[in-house]
Amino acid sequence: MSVLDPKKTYSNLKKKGFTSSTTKSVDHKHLEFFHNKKYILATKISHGNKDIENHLIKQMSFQCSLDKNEFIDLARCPLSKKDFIDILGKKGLLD
Amino acid sequence: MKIDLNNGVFIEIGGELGKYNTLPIDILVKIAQDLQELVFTLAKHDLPSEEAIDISNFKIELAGFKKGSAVPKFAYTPRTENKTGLFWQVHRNTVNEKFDKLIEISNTGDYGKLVELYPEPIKRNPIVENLYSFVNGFRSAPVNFVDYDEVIEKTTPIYKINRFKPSVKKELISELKEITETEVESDEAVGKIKITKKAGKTQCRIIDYYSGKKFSLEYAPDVIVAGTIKYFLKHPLRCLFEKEDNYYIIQCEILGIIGTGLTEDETENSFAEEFDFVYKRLNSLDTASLTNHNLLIRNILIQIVEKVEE
Repeated sequence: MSVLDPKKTYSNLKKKGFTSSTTKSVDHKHLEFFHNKKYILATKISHGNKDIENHLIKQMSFQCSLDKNEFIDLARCPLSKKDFIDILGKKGLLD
Repeated sequence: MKIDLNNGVFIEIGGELGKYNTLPIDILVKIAQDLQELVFTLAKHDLPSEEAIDISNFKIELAGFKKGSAVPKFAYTPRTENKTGLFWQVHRNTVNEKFDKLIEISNTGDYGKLVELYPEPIKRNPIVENLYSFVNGFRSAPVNFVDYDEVIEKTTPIYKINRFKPSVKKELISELKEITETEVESDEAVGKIKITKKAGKTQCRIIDYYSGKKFSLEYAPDVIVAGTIKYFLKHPLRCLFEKEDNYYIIQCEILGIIGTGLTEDETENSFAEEFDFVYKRLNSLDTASLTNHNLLIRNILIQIVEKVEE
């Protein structure tokens, strides 16, 4: 069972093109992904230092239209922004 | 170990059968065949299964015949072609030890001890059958395994052969059932369960179940409550509800909304929060900023939400 570091995940997703949503909450924030000025998707990430556990990885991977392993690769770095966009494109989510 | 097939064992047969110091051929043949079968059976079941065994090494021969009633002598064959393999002598000794124990049991007449010597029916059954045939093959004649003094030509009893009762044999033989390995198949299903509570005890009974490949559990709210906001829906929103590992999932594929949590309530709240976020976010963006996929989601949301109360 994998866990992700929230700060590193947040930082890495920002590097992959995610931007912070304007909507705010006490315990979490949303990161949004735009492509060619179009809103594609958003994923929720918790505030604080608590590890991102299995059920939250499941939620974030679904929101990013990835399977769990792909999402972990995206969050830890091996999956590049280009690869991510390719996956979304193949699923018809960029049109 | 009192008797030794390496050097030969003397079997003194008294009574009517041996009173002429001779033995009828058919009786001699039967005794020899039963003894041979018993020794072969011991060789098959008492030697290490991982070692190569040449069963011919355990052939016995008539090695002598003495008077004083009828006293045939049987021994392992001395022929060199029946001494093959590295451990033929060790194996012969092992078989002889077991043979000695069986005859010792016969001496006590307590054949029930065979269960202790051979707890596994797969070994015990053939040994019981062959020992029964051997010890009862002398008819009613008194029989002893004896030591024979060649100088004074006298026998000294070692073990008396006692009759093996059919009823005891029957108790010793266990029915062997062939166990066929059945393939284990596992599948997941969803079903209806009747829950009965009586005197503080809860009983669950499966009423019916359906393949998990075709059917699933659903979560279908007609009001979604996200904090202080209530979304009233025109129709229940049918979502997949399942448990994966140690957490729950509520997932609406068509809207791309998911809630997860460690409890059902946490999952429901998570789903409601996401529904609220997606509804508000998609409605805050102009059409040009939405992909076809997100436009579809926004349209569905507009269609299914009847009213929103804050």
